[in-house]
Amino acid sequence: MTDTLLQFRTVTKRFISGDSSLIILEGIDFGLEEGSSVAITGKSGCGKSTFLNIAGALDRPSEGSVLFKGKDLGGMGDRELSRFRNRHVGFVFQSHILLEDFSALENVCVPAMIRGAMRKEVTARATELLDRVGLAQRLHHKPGKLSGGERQRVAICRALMNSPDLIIADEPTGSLDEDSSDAIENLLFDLVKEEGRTLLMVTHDMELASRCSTVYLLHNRSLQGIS
Amino acid sequence: MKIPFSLFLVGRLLSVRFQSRYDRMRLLRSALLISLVMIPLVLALIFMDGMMDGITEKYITLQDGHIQIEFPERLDERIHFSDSSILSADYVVSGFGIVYSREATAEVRIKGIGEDYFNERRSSQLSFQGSALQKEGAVASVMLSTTVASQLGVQIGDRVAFMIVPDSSSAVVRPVLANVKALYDSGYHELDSSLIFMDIESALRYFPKEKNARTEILVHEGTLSDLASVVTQIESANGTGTLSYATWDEFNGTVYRNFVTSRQVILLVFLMILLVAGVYVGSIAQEMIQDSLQSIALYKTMGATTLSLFLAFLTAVMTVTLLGMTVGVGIGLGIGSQLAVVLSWLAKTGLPGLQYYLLDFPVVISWRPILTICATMLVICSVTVQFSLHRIRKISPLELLQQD
Amino acid sequence: MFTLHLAWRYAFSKSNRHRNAALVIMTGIAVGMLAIIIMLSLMNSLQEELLEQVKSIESFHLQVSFPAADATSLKVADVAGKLEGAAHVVQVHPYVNTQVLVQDVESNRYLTARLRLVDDAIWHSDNPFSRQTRIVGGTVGGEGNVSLGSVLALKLAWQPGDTMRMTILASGRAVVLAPMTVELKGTGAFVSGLPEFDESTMIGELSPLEAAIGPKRILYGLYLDEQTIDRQASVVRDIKAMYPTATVRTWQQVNSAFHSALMLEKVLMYLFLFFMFVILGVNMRNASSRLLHAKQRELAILRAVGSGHSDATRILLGQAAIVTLIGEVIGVAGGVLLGKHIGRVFGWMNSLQYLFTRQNNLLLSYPFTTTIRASEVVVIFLSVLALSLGFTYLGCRRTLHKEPMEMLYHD
Repeated sequence: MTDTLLQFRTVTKRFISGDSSLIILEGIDFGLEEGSSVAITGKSGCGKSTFLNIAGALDRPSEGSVLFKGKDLGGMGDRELSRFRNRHVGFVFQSHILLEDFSALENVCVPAMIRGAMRKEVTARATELLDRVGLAQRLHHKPGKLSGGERQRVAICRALMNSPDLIIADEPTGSLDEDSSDAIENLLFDLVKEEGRTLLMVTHDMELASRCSTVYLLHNRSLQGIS
Repeated sequence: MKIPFSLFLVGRLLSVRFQSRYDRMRLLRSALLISLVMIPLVLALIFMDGMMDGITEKYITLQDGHIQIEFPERLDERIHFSDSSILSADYVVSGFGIVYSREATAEVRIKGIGEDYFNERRSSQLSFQGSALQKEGAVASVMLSTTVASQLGVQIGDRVAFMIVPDSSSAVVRPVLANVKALYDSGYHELDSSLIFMDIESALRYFPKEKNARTEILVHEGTLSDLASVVTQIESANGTGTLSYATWDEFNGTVYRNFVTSRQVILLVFLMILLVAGVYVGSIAQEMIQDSLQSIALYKTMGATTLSLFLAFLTAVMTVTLLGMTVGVGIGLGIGSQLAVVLSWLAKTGLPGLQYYLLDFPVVISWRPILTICATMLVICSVTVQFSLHRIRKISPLELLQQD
Repeated sequence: MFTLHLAWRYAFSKSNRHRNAALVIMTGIAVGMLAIIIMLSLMNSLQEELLEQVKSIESFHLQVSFPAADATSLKVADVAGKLEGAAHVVQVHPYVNTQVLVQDVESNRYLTARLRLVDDAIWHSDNPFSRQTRIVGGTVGGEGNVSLGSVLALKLAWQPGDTMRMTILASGRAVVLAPMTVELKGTGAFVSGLPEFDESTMIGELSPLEAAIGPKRILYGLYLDEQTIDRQASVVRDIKAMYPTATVRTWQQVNSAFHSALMLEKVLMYLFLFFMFVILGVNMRNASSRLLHAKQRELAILRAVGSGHSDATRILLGQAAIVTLIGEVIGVAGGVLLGKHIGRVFGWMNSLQYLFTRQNNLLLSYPFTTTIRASEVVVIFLSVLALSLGFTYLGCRRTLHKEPMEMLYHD
């Protein structure tokens, strides 16, 4: 029996602009089991990224609560949330977003340095991860010298650096060509499975979504399971 | 080895290897401007402190001493110099009068001194022309300043006349003649224009010791803060009972207060300059944040706290400020040590206003005011920088995603 | 209007992510202007006060003297009358300054002092001296009377009516100068505001002692009208035309050392202000370059849709002008407001430091006033604006040289 890692309880998110109020998510109940992989699909602008941001504690719901391993994230202050993100969540963005002045190895090391890990341990783990994604020869190259696919691999390694419980990927292959996308897809799923992590993904790509254990459709501010 | 993230980030922000050309130039510009601010401040401080110390030294050594003990008899012969606090003790007589020649008159303070009055310390404060002050016959011997001498139109060997404040109501004011035996120049016009020296024997005739005699004491540097204890020692060593005395700052209260006020005015001006420089440093911090928005959002996404980021940027900016200050102070001190050259050139210009200044003084670097200015600069910069770094708190990881 | 609208948007639009940069620049300019104005106005006030006292009390506006040979043949009243007839001359006061030994007979105290013998009209007519000076005890003027500076009176333990026995140097029969003793009644004490004057000067009537003092030492002190006090050249010319052998000295010449010292301090202060100006200038150059850099994308788009060099330059100059003008207005307003209440501000600071030191601070307890000269403020205002626009213009020239795609690429 697997435990519930992440839980949304009647989560509503609205954005207020001047006099008007725009509801993005309404009364969403959602549960994410440990070790599972879930894909969220939907039309552009339906609120998929907002959903992910709330899941990753980058944003707070207007109503409802988000529980991580039974603990309410809404009750945490800024410091606690930072610690939570550092230790329990790894992000993979569509456009990878690397630190341009840091090498590939340094980019991967950053989450562990924030955690305050020992330098030797940090470097060893980062080197191991980059080696696993085929970038052993590119450790000291800056993002400017890496291809799109290579940068996304660095981003995946960075997300896994602190062995977080949850990997959140927002359109991980969105800015890549077909061949690179396939490679990244395989890499992501393989690593997540090897590391025993939980994956929550947003994608337009139904083929990619079908590789997850559960697929949801975000439509009309609510979440519907479709497989 | 564990390296705190903040420290790591500071290293990245300051390391020229990892910075773009623009960032390097920004850091360099900031440090350069800070050092350019510090140079004239340090120079002005050296000049001001040096000049005030020099003027104070002249008043103390030539006019008043550190302590003036009112005692009619020769106390100087009874003071033991084994007491390490006392440098010299001299029996002097002083009064006021008007000196006049065919050409002009001048109001002066007349100081009667002994032959050994001009010890090494006093001699270093002035330059002499002529012979020692010794009474010759019935006529007094005087040493005028070159300022008074040129005002009166007299030279060594000439005679001048005095009207001296009489010692009693029954005395009639009669002119007193004196031979100009020597001329001196202390370099400070304000002192020279009113002080002349007379041989003590003659002076005692015109200024009776009961009202006008003093023992003038110079002390060593270490005793300056506790002059009262010197007097107490003299009282107990000589069994004189309680002695009436005055210290230099009491004697020349107006001069001392003017110094203090002038110094504070200058420091107020410095404060204004530091304020403007501090605002500039704050804007540098703001620029750094602006250029690092995406990075900061990413760090926050990865779990870095606002505090760690705040500390990293604050440390980076303050390090550059400190570096600039150190360079500026160093250059200021270097130029300041050669101040004598500039001042002697200035003295040669003959500007009449310079008579109120002393331009020949030993350059002494007092660290306390320099460190005070540095500390003030750091405080002002840390305040202005913190206003700029407040922005970090408002940067949300969502900004990172929205920028794309 | 479009240019202005766009310039304003670029400066302060909420959607403009560089809005904070504009605010920081404005703050920097405001603080710089405030600091410069406060320093200038304090310096002006201090110097003006000192100079006014020196002019009014110590030396008169002009001083006329005659060579010994001419002085003996001239009648004082005639000379005074003729001088008063000159254009811009308001009053003429013949006077003598002489050093004396003074004894207060009743208290039996002696001192050296300066005796100024001048006509009584100086007390009773409206002139800068009588406006500045307050009588603090007894009465002043009158033949056979003398009034004392307040500090001098204290040192002599003077009481109203005391006999003041003075030994002065007068023309001798056998020698040039010989001591002469006179007794005058000390009837009053005054405060002039000039400490050195109050501590050393007594004022008596000239006419009784004129013959004894001798005509060679008589000087003529002239007060001029407001417009000519600092521009005396025409008056000097007129007097020289009347009396070719006369020596006419302005108050600046009479107090040349003091005046020179004040001018020296003024130059030093201007140097410090210029220094602050340089820091402000560097800040502005930096800021204008940042704002320009931030706008490259917009500039590229404007160029791409047909805007010319001059249109784009005008928009950015407009932005710089708006930010600079607002910062300057805030700075000037702040400077003027703070200047008006500087005494109160220093008073608060004095009270604060008193909590720690238990002593009144001499500087902070001084009754400062400020003198803000509109011309100086305008010069600084325009200089800062010119600096800001200059840097922006130079930056625009550099940036707009590039092609639109090049600008987009760099952005």
